[in-house]
Amino acid sequence: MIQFFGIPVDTLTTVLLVITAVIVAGVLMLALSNVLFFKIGVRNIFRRRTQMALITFALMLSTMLLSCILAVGDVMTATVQSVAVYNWGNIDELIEGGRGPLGTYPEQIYYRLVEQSRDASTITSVGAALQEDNLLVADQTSRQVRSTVTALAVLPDSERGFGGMQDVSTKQYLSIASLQPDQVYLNQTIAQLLNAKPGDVLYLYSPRWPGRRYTMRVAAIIDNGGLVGDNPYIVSQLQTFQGIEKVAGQINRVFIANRGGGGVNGVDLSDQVTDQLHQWLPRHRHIHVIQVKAQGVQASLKAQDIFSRIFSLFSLFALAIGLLLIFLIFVLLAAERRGEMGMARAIGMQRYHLVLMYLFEGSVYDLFASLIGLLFGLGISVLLVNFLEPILARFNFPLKFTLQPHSLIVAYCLGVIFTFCSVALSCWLVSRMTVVEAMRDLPEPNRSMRLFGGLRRKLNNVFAILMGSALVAYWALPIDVLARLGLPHFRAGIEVFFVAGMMMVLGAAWVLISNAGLFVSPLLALSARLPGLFYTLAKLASVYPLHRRFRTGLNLVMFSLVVFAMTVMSVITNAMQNTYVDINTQTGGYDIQATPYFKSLPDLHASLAEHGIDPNAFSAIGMRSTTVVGVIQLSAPSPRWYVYPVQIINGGFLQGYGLHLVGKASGFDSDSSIWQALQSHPDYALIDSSALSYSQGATDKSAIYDPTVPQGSRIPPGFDPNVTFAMSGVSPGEKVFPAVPVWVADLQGRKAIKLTIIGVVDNSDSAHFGLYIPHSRYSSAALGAGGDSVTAATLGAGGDLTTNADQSYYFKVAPGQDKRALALQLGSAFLDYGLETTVLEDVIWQKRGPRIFLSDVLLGVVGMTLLLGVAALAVTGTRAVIERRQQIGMLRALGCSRRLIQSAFLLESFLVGLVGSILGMVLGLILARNIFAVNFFEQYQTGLTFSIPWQQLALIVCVSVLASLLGAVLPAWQAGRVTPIEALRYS
Amino acid sequence: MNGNEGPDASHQKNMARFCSFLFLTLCLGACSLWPGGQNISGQWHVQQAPKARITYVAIGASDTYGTGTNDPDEQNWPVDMTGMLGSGSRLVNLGIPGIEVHDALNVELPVAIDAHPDLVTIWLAVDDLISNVPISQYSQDMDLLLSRLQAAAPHALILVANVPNLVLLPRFQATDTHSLQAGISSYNTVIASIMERHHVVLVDLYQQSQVLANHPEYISSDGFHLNARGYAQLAMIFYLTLQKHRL
Repeated sequence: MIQFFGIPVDTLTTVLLVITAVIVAGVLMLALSNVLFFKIGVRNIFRRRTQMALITFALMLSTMLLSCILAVGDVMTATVQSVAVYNWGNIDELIEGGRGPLGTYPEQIYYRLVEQSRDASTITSVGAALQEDNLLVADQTSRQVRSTVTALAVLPDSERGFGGMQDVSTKQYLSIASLQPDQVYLNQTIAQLLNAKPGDVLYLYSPRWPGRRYTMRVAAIIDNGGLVGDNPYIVSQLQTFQGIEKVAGQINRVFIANRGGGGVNGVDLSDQVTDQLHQWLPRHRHIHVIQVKAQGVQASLKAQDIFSRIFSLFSLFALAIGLLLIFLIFVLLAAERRGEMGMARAIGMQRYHLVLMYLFEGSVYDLFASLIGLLFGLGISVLLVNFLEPILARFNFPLKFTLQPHSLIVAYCLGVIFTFCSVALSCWLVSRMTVVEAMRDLPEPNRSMRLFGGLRRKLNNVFAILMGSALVAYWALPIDVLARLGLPHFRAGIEVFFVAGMMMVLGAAWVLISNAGLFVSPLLALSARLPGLFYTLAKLASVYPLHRRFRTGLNLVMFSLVVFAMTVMSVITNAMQNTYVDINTQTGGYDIQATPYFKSLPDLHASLAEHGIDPNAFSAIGMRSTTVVGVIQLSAPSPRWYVYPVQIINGGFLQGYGLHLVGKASGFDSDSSIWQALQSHPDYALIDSSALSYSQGATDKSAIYDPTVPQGSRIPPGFDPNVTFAMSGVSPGEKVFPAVPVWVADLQGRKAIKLTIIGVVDNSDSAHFGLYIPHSRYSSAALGAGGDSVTAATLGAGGDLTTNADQSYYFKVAPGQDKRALALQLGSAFLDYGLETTVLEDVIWQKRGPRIFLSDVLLGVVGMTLLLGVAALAVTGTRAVIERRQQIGMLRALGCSRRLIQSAFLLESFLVGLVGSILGMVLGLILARNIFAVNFFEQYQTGLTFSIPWQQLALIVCVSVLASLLGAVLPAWQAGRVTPIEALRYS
Repeated sequence: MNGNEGPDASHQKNMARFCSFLFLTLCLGACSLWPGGQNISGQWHVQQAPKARITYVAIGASDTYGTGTNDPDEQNWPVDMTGMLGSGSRLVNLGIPGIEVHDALNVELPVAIDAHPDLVTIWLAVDDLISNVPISQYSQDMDLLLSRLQAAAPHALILVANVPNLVLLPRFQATDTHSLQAGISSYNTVIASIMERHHVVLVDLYQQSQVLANHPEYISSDGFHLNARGYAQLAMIFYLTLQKHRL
């Protein structure tokens, strides 16, 4: 991790180390100068072994949680950074610029750099190439087509310093020099896409050579990496493309590899290398250095923005649970020792001595349990990484478990420091006792209470209700509502939600505990009407919580916090899983996309059979054409014409395949009703979710301040934001909205048509921009072809837009059919049309693999927190029974049966667990709802939508309550078996 | 263990009621924060345009769009004119750069009618003139446009602008000014006769063209369109004409 709660890890580590060292040194010095009290304190550890085991276990859990969280954070950061730079292979810096359409410059510059860098300790290799982008490659042998391929014509021997080029089948290293002028290597990515093999014949096309094509033969398939990353690349001799482009002696890329050995290792040297290169490069050639790896690392920080923020929130909750557990354990321990402390004070010990004894005992637990917890935490993290490895394998990404030493130190030190503080605080609280009352284990008398009696108590209760409710109400309101009401609110990052959560839990627990009598009275009243011992049981179960409100309150907060954190985490991870991991939702049900590059396809159903493909192999086929239109919304505040891409759809698209709806016009109660309406009413249309966003000068509308939110990604590619249509009156994330009439005019056409927008299409992947119009409407001459008086360029949309419809076909494969085989068949059948076929699932894995991985990491964190949280609750339940053996003896002496006592303990645990769980769930849902209500995720265009995973929540509540019951069962059973005399003697 | 009776019990009951009420209020408050469910009533709601005292529709080409300024959205003469019309006025700017009357008939007119205008300005002549649209064709299209507009929006006040003296603009100074002048005269004659026939108000920009010669600072860097200051002056011309003819 680079930062931890906004503080650089380096700084934090130093500070925490210093504090820990001071604590350890202080305790050591105190132990040396108070050997007797040290011995007495440490003796307690061995005297009460059950207690020791529980305390150690609790401390272990806390440190385990901390170290797990930090280790997972390291894995996340390492993954995202590595993914971001993986595509650059071993290249750290790139020199480009030059002149002409290819940006070329003389080869001599490269040779000069080689000479000058020979003695540079920061540079290990320099390479040169001529790169040409955006080629269309048709494999005549496999009969497949692929667009946007990059050709890299490499200067022979340049490849050696960058890891070489390894044949994927023979694993032998190949050289550029051995390539013939008509031979190329293919990297693994393009080879897979083309289904190519060595010996295949390729045709190369480029918009730069209209009417020409070049024939090449595949010499070998090489590994991704080295000079080529995982984008589709063909590699040739430099002279081959110098000849094609007629730029003899020219190159347009010089590659630099820094010392460090690939990956992100050389990034630290980037600035130094860049300065050096700038001194060596000729200034008049307009060439410059790009720190590709360093920029990749920077981009990765943005790429993991939303995940790191969500992870921060989860970490804060996990940290709070861990630290509260430590505090709770020591408060209970101190409370349990109250009688013993009273005795010690009675025989002449000072309060200071009591604190010292307790501190020594706590420190021993602390130093050892934290260490064991740390190791367990690392173990769990390793398991998590192993569990997630298959996901990484799906997008060909190698990952190793990486852990920064900083994280270990931070986890350990945080555990030690907080335990120390908890021990000191709880001991100080308990040591402020009246000796006689402490020996009799009675509550401390409240003198002010005596003076004013019931009035004071009532006032306290009312005050607690008012303040607690106000606390809950304030933090439960979404931040934008607070702003609208004119109430002060915090402007901060995602941390504000953590604060909100904590405040709500504490406020609600305050109200409940201060007025526990009122909340328990209905239960007592109900049980009084039941036959048998129900009333006695209920009374017994409620006596302790009413009597020891602080301890019960802490238990309640613990339960609420665990369930609360789990609820928030579940809602967020559920949204992420739905959005990123559910491939079917993202592809909209289609399996294959096909785009003809040479000419439009004929009638598909007829021609499929002609080409030997069974049309029944597809359960749906849709067509989508893209063009640009002018749009005006008369209901907007200042209507005027804007431009926007339009997707003309038919076939499967009108049956609901291919598009995921995130909003519907009021009156449509289901997605299917939208699709039916589109089929029967050609005047209806859909629009993508980006058109609802904050464009046209609007600024960040979220109430959550976040300066690093990426901007400008909501505009269709190539469009000028100033003239791009944005729909007014419907907010991002709004699920139901009034239908929006718009007028649309073809930029070449002669007639405007009125459409009514009835649905919003999810465009969180920025691949679904557009106004979606049924093909029947488009082809009804309303938006027919016409003159050229109005063009996209005239409205400033940019010269690279085309007004010719750009067609794509989408196929949903019938059950039992192989989508990859069918994609190859389609490509082969329509090779003459230049049909490029893509299996959508593969593309989604390629594009969203890191997001899917991170979603699953967060899901893993949730599972891990649940397990540890549940263990914490079980420990809490056990402690609550163990400390009351003396009371049990008293009850037994008064005639209560074993069974009654056991039942009372279980009922008490159940009640505290149930109330805490319900409270946590309700508050968690309110907070999760607020996070979505203020469009926090929309800032990042995540496409996440709020939905409640009821099944998961039910599981969380059940597991939590069960854990508390299980934790209480064994000690309750043991307690019931204790004889009265034995129990009364216990201390 | 029989529970408390007497004042304490009564107090607890009252407090219990109070707490129940408070809890209910909190629950209701929380529920009010909940997202609305899907409308299953089948009721159809369509977004409506905001209410306005005057709905003003500007039909036109690049000048109406705001070409020539740094911020065409805000710096165009219809926006300036809307400001002069006072509060409660709402502008629907239908200007499309390069559009001719024939296209405007099918692209701008239906939208203008749908906007239910109270005031309409039409300035569509310059692009037709530059593109050498035959005068008969222009006349026919403009006549049709006004007929349809008047039929669909009978209560709307309509102002139509003619062609200013383009010869004064830097962009046309190197061209055949005589033939351009002749073309402008023909267009303006036709426009005047159509206006008379339809009883709509003519905004005589040609008469005001000398301002361009006196104020070269009103012309944008392209030598053809006005800049923000020029558009402000143009809006004033439209507004004064409107004031003069306002019933």
